[in-house]
Amino acid sequence: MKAKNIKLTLLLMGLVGMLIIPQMVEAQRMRGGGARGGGMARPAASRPAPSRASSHTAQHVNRPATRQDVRSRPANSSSRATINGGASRATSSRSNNSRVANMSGNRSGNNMGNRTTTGNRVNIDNSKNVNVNVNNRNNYNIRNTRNVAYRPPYRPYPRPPMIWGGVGFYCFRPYYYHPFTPFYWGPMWHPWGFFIATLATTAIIVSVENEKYHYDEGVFYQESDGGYVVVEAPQGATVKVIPSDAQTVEVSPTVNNYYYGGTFYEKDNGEYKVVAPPAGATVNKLPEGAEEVKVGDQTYVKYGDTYYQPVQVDGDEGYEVAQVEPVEGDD
Amino acid sequence: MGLFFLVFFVQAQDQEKFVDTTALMILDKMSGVIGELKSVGFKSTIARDVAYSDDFYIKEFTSSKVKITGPNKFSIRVLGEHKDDLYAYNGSQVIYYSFKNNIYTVADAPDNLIETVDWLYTDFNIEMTTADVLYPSFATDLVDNMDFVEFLGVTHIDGEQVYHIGAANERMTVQIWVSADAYYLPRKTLITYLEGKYAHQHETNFTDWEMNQQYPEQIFEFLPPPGARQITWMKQD
Repeated sequence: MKAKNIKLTLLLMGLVGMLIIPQMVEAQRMRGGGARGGGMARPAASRPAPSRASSHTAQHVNRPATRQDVRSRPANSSSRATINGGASRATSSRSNNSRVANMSGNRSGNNMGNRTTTGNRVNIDNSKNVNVNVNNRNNYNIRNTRNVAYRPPYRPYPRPPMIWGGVGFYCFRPYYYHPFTPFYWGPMWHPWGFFIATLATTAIIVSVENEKYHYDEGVFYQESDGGYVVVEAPQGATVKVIPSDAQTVEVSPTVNNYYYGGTFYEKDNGEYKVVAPPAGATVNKLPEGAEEVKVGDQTYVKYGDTYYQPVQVDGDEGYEVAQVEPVEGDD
Repeated sequence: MGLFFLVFFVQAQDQEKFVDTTALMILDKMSGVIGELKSVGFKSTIARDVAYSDDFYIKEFTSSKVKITGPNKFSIRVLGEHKDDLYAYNGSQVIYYSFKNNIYTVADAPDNLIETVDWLYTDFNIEMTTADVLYPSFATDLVDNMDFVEFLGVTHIDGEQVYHIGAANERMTVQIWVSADAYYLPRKTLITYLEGKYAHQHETNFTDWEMNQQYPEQIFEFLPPPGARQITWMKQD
């Protein structure tokens, strides 16, 4: 197959060469004349062109034959009236898969992950508890519908929001895109949906709103068939210890939160309580499970229901928790 | 329906309407020419006022190269403030690609141009204001939505003779300049929105028209460049 390709390419090159370099043809004639007459002043042998011309002739004579055993092509593509009847592909044609989601969490398209997402971000209805689907681990519901996407900032926004879809995205810092690469906090940390058969002995049990969670090293688990599955940290849960490499995040000049593995904690009476992401705060790493989404003209990173705007913080790349509020219709 | 009318639909009230037939005939001729085209290409530059903060508007400039083949393909390259984008529609999907960030999004689209342009606006808030003049009902929509439509005279833009048409209702004024040559293609549109704290404008210039060119269908198909990442396209609820 390859050899034939090369031959054909050479043929075409030669053909084109013949078209655009008329003196090659001349050379052929000259050479013929020279050989016959012998009295030509021009030394035919020293010119590279004649030897090339002879290989041309050889090819030229063979052309109809080689053309026939080239891999099968439509015999007469002139129905398309293009210059060469249409190119034949070297690869199989690929298709693009649609991937669209809307803000309330409904996704459509061919590239859906294994996680299921639930609807409203503000849902304090206790009947919508985290479901345990004993038979199929992949459909396990790892989102917490009681969680809120963000909490409001301590000071008002000086700039108007980016308005899209009847909703305004508020941020303190200007939008500055940088590509998203998921951060991995280490061997003890796992993203949502990760299954583990047994927990370390340091794991503790935390109860929030009548739901039982297991917590170890900054990760929350719930029991699932035969083991434990990583779930979204329930806001309001209190733990005694968070990993030492948690990052301190300033929420206001008097309040600091701690950030580890995609979860925010606030120190409360010597213990750490899981809180909603504070709008306006910045972090510089987001976990696997967050995805980039195009919202209007900007690209945010969405983790759970929280939107993070890519920004620059002191010259470094970071993400700011965005406040997403419905706005009055305008322009 | 034109996109700028989608947002500013005015109920026909007991307003006194003044519609100049000269203006309408020019617009009909323009729409007539456009309606016969099997394919069209043009370059457009847009200058529009954008709210930067409460009392402060800035002007943003964008330029696009548009190629459209009926009934259902387009390829639009947009260069603007902080953006260098491509929108490609091949009859079944619209793909957005950002050259600047090397990311792309894909969505399944309707199978014709007019519905696709409307769908891009309602689902993703993508305004293709340059497509307004290409709507089949442009002239009738203008008459329906405006209280005044008047032919304002012949003038020049960049040395080219143009017909100047003005239209107004309580919420905005629209001015269109149509080339005074055999083709009657739009040269410039200027919309002044009167609502809100300050009046603000949206101006579009059209140049380099190509008509009935046979664009190869392959140019409307998208192949992700090396390293490009697909991300999720959020649509409005």
